[in-house]
Amino acid sequence: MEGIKGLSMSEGEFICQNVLIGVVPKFSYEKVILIQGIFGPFKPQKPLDIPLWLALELKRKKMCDIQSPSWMEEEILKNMIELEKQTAETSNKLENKLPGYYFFEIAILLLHHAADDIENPVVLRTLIEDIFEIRKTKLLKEMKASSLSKERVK
Amino acid sequence: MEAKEETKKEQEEVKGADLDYGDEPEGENPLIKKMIKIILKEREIPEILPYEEETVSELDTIVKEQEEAVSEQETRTANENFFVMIYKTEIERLKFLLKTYLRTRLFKIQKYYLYIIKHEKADLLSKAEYNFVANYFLYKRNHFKECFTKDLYDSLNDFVEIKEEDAVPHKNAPVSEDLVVQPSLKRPVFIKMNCDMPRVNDFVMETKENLKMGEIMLVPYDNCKDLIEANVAEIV
Repeated sequence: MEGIKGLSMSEGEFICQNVLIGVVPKFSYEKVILIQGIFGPFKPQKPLDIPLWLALELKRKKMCDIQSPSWMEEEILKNMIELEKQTAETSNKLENKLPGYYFFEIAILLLHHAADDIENPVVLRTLIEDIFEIRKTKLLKEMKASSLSKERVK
Repeated sequence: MEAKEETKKEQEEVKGADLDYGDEPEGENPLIKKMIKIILKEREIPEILPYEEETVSELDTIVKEQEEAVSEQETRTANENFFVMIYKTEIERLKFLLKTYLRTRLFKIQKYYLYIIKHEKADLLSKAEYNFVANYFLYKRNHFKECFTKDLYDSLNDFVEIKEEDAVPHKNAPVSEDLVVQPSLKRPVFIKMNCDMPRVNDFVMETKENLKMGEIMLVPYDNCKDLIEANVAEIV
């Protein structure tokens, strides 16, 4: 089984699919009463928010178009990269905040399953990978620095 | 007054930016988010936590009711067939969540069963888990005895013959303290502040500023245990 420390990548991906995302249905259907909530009614070309896992199922059957989240745009991601490069730490300050805890998982899922609904998916994928690498480098540096300072205190 | 307004504005901005911890849309069931938080907590925190009987049984009941409703549903059109499949997919997803929670606890119970017995942590377990610990204790001891401990000298053999009446988790169970695996409370965990808090000495290494709502930190568990119990911080 998955380890008992934290979530694995696949578990994170599973959990992030409960997040709501905008879709534009291509069919008509009454309200759907799920345990998570009541969604619908589904009307053609009328956007609504549904869980990501449901959006991906509908997309697979070509029954809807997925609206990419507001943060998934070239300019916004480029600004995020600039901010990340300007700050030495992975700080929690507002101006440096990631748009959501499952930012990477949602981005990867959308780029994999709904690339045709996203503008410039290749560019966005590169930008998101860049953000991931920059933050990973910063985190490793910070953890190395804190473990060295701990040794100095000893 | 201005500082307070600024903090309130910042908090609203944080809420809006956050995909996962923002306001729930109308009609969305908060039980699933609660279950996910419980699973995260059980995964991250090194020691065994009290069994969340209320949430687990409520979710289990809802899943069973939905399962019954779906099995009775008649379908005529392709869309109806598709949405029956969707209902079943959601049921499987929620069953996976419940099983993940139970599996995580079972993993911890198997690892720390001697600690649970010796330190009387049985009140943290469900009835089924309690029975599991009692039987696991017996089986493990008998297994070790059959494999090799029966051939050891008595002075080297910390494992004693267990009688039926001793197979109940209690602090006087015949187990040496040297053999008890204890959870490491110094293990670092990621926490998120639920409210502002003035800086506490020795809480976080090299903290210079007061802790703000929404801040995420990596902290040894025993430093933040009280904060988590008081809901001042939560596991992420």
